[in-house]
Amino acid sequence: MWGGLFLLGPLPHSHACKAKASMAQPLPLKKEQVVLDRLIKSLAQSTLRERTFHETYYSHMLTTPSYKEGTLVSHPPNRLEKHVQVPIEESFIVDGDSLLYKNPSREISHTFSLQEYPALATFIVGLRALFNGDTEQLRQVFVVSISGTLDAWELDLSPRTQNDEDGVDCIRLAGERAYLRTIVIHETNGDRSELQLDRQVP
Amino acid sequence: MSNTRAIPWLLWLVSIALGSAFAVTSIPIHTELPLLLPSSGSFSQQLFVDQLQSGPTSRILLLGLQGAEPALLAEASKKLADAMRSQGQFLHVFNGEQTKLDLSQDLLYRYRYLLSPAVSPNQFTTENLRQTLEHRLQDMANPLPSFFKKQIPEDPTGAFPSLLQKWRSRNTIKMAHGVWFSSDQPVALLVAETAMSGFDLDGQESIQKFLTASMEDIRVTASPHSGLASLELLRSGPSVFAVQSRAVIQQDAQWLSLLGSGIVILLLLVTYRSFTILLLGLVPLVTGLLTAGVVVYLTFGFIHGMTLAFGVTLIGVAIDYPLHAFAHLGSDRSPRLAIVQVWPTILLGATTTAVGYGAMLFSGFPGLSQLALFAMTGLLTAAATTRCILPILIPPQLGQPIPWATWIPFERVDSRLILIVPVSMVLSLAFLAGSEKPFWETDIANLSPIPQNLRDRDAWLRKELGAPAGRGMMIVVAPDEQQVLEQSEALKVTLNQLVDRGHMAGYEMAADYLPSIRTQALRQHALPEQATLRNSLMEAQQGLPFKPGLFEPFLKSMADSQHLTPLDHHTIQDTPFETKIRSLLYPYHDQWIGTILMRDVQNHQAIQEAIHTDASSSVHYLDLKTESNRMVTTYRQEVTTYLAIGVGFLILILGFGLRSFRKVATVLIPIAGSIMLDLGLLHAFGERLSLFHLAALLLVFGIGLDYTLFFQRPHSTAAERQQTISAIVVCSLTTIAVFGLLACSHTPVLHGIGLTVFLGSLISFLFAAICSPPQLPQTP
Repeated sequence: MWGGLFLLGPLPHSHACKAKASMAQPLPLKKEQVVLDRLIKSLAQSTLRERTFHETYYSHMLTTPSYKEGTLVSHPPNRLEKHVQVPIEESFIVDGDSLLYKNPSREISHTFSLQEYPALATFIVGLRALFNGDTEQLRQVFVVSISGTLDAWELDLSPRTQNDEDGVDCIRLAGERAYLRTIVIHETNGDRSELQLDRQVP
Repeated sequence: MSNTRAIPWLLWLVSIALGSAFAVTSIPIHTELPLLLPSSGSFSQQLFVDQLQSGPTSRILLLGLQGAEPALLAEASKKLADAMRSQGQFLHVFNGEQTKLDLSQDLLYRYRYLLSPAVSPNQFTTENLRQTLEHRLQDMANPLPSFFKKQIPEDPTGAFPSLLQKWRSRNTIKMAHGVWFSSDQPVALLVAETAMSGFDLDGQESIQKFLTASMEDIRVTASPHSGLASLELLRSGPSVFAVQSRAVIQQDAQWLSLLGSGIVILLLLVTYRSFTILLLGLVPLVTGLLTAGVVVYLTFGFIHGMTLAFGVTLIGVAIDYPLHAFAHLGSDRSPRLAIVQVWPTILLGATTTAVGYGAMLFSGFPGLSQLALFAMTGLLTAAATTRCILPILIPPQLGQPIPWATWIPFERVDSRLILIVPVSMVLSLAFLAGSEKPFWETDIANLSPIPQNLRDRDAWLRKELGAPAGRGMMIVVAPDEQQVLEQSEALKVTLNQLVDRGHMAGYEMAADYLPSIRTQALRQHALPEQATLRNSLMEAQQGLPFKPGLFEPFLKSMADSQHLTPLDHHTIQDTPFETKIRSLLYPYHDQWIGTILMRDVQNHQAIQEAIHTDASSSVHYLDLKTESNRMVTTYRQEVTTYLAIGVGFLILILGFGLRSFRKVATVLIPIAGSIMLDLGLLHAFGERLSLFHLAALLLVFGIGLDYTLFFQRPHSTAAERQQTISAIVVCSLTTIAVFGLLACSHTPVLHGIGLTVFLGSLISFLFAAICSPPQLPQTP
C-alpha cells in the first residue's frame, strides 16, 4: 500500500543489505515463500489509505540528518501521494507515469515523466506490484528476501538492475502483520532514508 | 527503303542518339527553386528563398509510429531513432529518449556559469546563497535524479539544471515507455532534421527509402507474434511533401501521357495507315526538343526541371508541323513539293509563336528566360527540320491519308456564325469583370497535389511535437557570428513581450544555447572573487547541516570558470552541441545568419510591427506562407507583362508576314476570342488561374495561331483545302485527346494545364474554322 513512498522518499541505498540479498538467492526456502505470499496478500488487503510519516534522511553531505513529516495517501492501483508539512510544504503525486512536484514556497509546480528517471520508474513498478499483491512482478524487479515471522517481519528488496551508478542499493521494510512500520532506503552512495509510519489514521 | 533515304535516316538517327546520350549524361537538371528567381531580387526575398529551400524548417522531418501496443511502439521508436542516428544523414533525431550528450554535456557542464541564463551577479550574495542552500537541503531528501544530487557540491546554485532545461525545450511532450507519445492517440512521436536541404529531392527520396527499409528491418527482426505486423510509420514535413508531390505528379503525368500517346498513335495510324508516317511525325519534335535542351544547356549551364516540363508542353505544338505536310502528300506531288507548299504557313506560325515566347527572354526571372529560349529553339528547330530534313526522309510512295475534312461540312458553315467570336469575347469579358469569384490563385497551398488529410496530419504532428509550423521565422543578418548573437540577444526583450501578449507561443534561437562572447564575458565578470565567495558561502551556511568543505568543488569550478575562454562556433566544433547550433546559426555568403524559429504564431502583423519598431534593418521577419504566395504572384505578373510585350512583337511579325492589317486582324480575332472564351469557361468552372494556367494559355495561343493560319492559307484547289483542313482536324484531335486526359488528373497543376489546353484547342479549332473564308479563294 505504501509503495509510493520509496519513490517519494529519497532515491535509494546501503551496502548493508546487498550481501544479504544476494545470499537470499535464488529463492527463499519454502517456509519463507509461504510467509512472503501471506505478507504480500495482507499488505495488499490493508484498507488504510492515509497515514502520517516521519522521515529522517542521513546524507554524507550533512553533519546532522534532515527531517520531514507529513502524510502519505494511496489510491490504488496507480496513484500515490506524499504531502510534506514540515519543515516546509511540498507534495509529490505519482499518477501512472507522471510525477507532479509542488512546492508553493518556491512557486514550483512541475510534472516529470517517470520515464525520464529509469531508477524511479523501476521502483514505482516494483512497489506497486508489492502493494497490489503481485508477487511475480515484484520478483521481476527485485531480489526479495524475508526474515522473521508474520508478527514481526523484515522484507529486503534489492533491485535486479542498477540503473545509475548511485541509484538504490536496497530497501528494507519492516512491520507487524499488515502494519508497515518502517521503510529504509539505502542509496549506493551510502545515504539512507528512514521512514516511520504511524499506525493510526492522522 | 532506298539508299538515298537510308543514309540521311542513319545520319539523323546517329546524331539524335549522340545528342541524346550527351543530353542524358552531361546536362544537369536542377530542381532548386532559387534558380528560377531573379538574382536582383531583394535581400529579404533571397533570404526567404534560401530559408524555404535549405533553412531548418525545410529540413524538419516529423514521424509517428502507430499500429501496435504502446510498449512495442516505444521499442520501435528507439530502434528507428538508433538506425537514423547511425545513418549519418541526420543532424539530430529526437524521440524523447535521454540522449547521451556525452562530450557536449561535459562541455556544457564545464561552461555552465558562462552559458546558463540563471547566472546573475546577485545570485552570489550571502542572502541569496543562503536561500539557495536551504533549497538544496530540501531537494536532497527528494527523489531527484541522482545525477543532480551528486552535483550539489559542485553546482549548488543549479546553473546546470536550468541550462539543461533549455536544451530539453520539448519537455512538454507526453512520455510513455521512455519515448514521446501523442497526447491523445497511441502514436509514438519522433522529430529529426536532415543534413541536406529539404528540397534536395533525390537526397530526400533516399532518406525516405532508408526510413522504409529501417521500418522493414524492425518488422522483420521482430518475432512474428510480437504484434508489430501492422506497425506503420507516419511521415510528414516539407521534404516528405516535396518528394511525394514529385512522385504523384510524375506518376500522373506518366500514365496520362502514356494513354495520350496511345490515342495519338492510334489516330495517326488510322489516318495515315503507315508506321513510317508515325515515325516521321516524331522527327521534328524530337530534333526540336534535343536542340532546345542543348542550347539551353550551352547558355545557362543547366536545365531546370520546370523548364523541361513546361518547355516540352510548349514545343508539343511542333508535332503539328509534319502533320500539315503529310496531308498534302499525294501521288502527284513529291514530298518536297508537299512540304514546300505548306512551309510558308508553318514558318509564319513558328516564327510568330517563337517571337511571342521570345519576349520572356528579357525577363529578369531566369526561369522565364530559360523557358523562352527552350520553346523558341525547339519550335524553330522543329520547323526547320520539317522543311529541310523531312523531305529527304519521306518515302516517295505514301498512301493517301483519310480525308477527315470531307466528312465535316466546313464549306457549308454559315458566315453569320462568325459573330459567335466577338459575342463570346464580349460575354466572357463581361462575365469575368462581373464575377465576384477570385480570378487568380493566391494560395500556392492549393496547387499542392498533397491531399488535405495528409496536410491535416502534418498540422497535427506539428502541434503534438511543438514543432514550428513553418510559417513564422525571424532572420538576423550581420557581418559576423558574434554580431548575429548579440543582435539576437537584444531581440529577446521584444520577443518575450510578443510571447507574453500571446502573439506566439515561444521561440528558439542560437543565442539560447550559445550566448554571444560578450554575454559570456559579462557573466564571467559577474562571478565573485574567490575570497568574497568563500566568505559569503561561509556566512550562508551558518546553522545549516552541510558538512564543512562540502562546497569546495563549487569554489573551484567558480575559479575555473573565470579563466575559461568563451565558447564560439570554433570551440564547439565536432561536438553534438555544434549540430544544434549549426541549424540556427551559419555563414551566408560573406555574412552570418541567425534563424529565430517561432512556435504557434498567432499574429503575424503584430510581430512584423514589433520588429519595425526595433528599426534595425538587419532583422527580417519572414512569414513563409505569405512570402511564397507573394513570390508566385510576382512570377505571374512577370509572365503577364512579358506576354503582353510578346503579343506586341507577334503582331508586328504577323503584319510583316501577312502584309495586311486586315489579314492580321482576321488571324488575331479568332485567337483572342478563343483565349477569352477559354478564360471565361475556366473561371466558370471554378478554376483560379495560376502560373501554370498562364503557361498553358501560351500553348493555346501557339495552337490557335497554327490552326488559324492554316485555315486561312490560300489554296488553289478545293482538294488542297480539304487536305489542309484534314491535317488541322488530326492536329486538333490529338491535342484535344492528350490534354483532355490531362484534365482528368487529380493533381491540381496537371488538371489546370490539361483543362486550359483542352478547352483552348477545342475553341481555337472551332473559331479558326468559322472565321476562315468559306468560299474558295483565288490563286494566291
